[in-house]
Amino acid sequence: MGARRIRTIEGICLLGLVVLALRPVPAVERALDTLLVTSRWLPELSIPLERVQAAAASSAGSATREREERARVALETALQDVSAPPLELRQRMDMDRRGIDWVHAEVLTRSQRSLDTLLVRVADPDLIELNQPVVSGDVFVGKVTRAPNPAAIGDAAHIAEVTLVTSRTFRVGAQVQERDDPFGAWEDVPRSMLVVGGVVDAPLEKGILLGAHTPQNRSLVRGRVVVSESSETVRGSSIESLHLANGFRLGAQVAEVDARQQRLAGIQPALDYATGVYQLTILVQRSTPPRAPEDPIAALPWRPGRLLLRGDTSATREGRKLGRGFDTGVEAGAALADGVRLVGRVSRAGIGWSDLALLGDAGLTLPGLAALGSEDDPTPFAMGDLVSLGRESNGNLRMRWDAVQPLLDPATGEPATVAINASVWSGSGSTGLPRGLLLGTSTLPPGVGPHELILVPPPGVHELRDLNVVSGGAAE
Amino acid sequence: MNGSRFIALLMLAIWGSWMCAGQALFAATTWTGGFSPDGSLVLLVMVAGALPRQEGFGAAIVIGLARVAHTVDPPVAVLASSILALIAARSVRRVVDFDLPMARAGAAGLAALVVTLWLGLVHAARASASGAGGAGERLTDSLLTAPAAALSAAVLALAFGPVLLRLPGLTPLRKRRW
Repeated sequence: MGARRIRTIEGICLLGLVVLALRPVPAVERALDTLLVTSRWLPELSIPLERVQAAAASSAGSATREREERARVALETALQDVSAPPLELRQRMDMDRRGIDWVHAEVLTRSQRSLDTLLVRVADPDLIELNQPVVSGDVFVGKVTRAPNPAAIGDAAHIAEVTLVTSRTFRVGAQVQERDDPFGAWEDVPRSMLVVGGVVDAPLEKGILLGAHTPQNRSLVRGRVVVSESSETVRGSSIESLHLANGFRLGAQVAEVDARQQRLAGIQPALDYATGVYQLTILVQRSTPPRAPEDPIAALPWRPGRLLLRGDTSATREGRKLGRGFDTGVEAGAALADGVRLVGRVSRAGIGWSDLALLGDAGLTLPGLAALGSEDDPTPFAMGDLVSLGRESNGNLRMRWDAVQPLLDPATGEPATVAINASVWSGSGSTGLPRGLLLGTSTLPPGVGPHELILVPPPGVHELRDLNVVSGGAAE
Repeated sequence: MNGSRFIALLMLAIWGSWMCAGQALFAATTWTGGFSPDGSLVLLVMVAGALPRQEGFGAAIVIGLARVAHTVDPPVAVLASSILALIAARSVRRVVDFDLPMARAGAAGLAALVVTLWLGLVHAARASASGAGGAGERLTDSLLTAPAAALSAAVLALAFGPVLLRLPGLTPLRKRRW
């Protein structure tokens, strides 16, 4: 073969690889994975080097790990308490006598079809039906639009779909009360019926506003808006039981002033639907007592994971090769944990092996959950996404925190004015990553972000002695 | 390709794997970080300098496969980086006498510089495309790391380049004597 022809072949190969590297095509990458499957065995050649390093590692303190597990359980308990309807509201709405109960649901991810649709994992799928109301604390969130499939096997049988009240087609009956008293008496105050759903265009400073339709009293432009539905409503071909959520908050009316008078602009939501929806409860008419919420970590299918290498040749990456691939159920996004400590997430799953991005790999993104206050009685705070900016020379992690919702003071519930120490855990809302895996401790700054956090990982985090990876937990 | 050349390429894959694993371990357990010398890349440059000019492609793919097995960078980007390293070595070889130790060191340094910048660019482009964020940090990281990577590769080539080429099993790939 002539030198010119060889150069041409090399040039074409290089050009193709460059284009595919910068503009990845998943089908081609998967095909290449299949072609390169034999290179899976090359890291096995370096096992003697692994042994050298394994011998150097010391054993981490069992007491530390037990303490971390206790802290996780305390955070989980606090989280369940926060997402359940508050006692005051349950009493006021007489929920116990009316036989209204609730089933815990954790957000896995947003649907790829619509940002207003969430995929959730429910603790007790047998009780979930179409059009049941979904709430978070005392705030109405949306309704079930796809019940779990009873014929599905394993984790898939727990997956339901929830459509948020922000959806263009969503409508729920509501009433506005002039008094803005979350749990106060509401019988003797001026009120107006209206229909709420979708979002309206609003000036930037007002943020997203829920749409307010056909208000009964147009002069009532301020006040608290709560769900108010008559008993089971027939909408189209389905029956809705949104009346179970009567009394749950939607938000506060916002007025805008035009040339002559004030008019209703929309409803300022009581929840940040873009970044603040993680732990939900589905209200059900009780027939049998719902099961207790499952432990989010125990609920996922875990398998032992083995690292093929203890490092990465690329100096700018903090990655590892994992000796499991999609043939054993490992998918991109799956978490790798050492006990309750999060080690990293699978960035690419191949046949028989996977690429793993560790916490110090710049660009790794995951939802964060802060545990504020004492370790035994923490106050959970959903942080939204954290993006890794790499690791400092002393091993601490640098993370970007957008802080769309400012940090709340655990003592007052108001936006914090000073930095607060917290332990940071994985949050909900990302497929393959359960909430409640420890990232480290940090000092969280007050106010809206973006902030750069310095996260101190737990001691002995590099020892990696009890690795397990989520496998076979696909949600969509 | 005759049998001995095939076995030599197989041995190149094995030595390349060991170089990658050693580099990864060295980087993970010491403070050196970006200064960890890229042994597999230096090996590729040495082999590219020893082979006839039209025969380096196979060696680049073999070293690329070894590197794919030891990094979380995308395989297409890693294979492309091996070909880029080959081109860098050939370019130096075209203008200076590759028998000179400094020429080999320069070629290894240039290859490491190009590869580090290229992988940083891919990392940043993919982060930007997926909306994951941190694209700027990734590019900055690679810009800051590239000189260290180039320096360490050049020093390795200067000190151990001929030794790498004389590793057991690579004799059929050697055309020249240093």
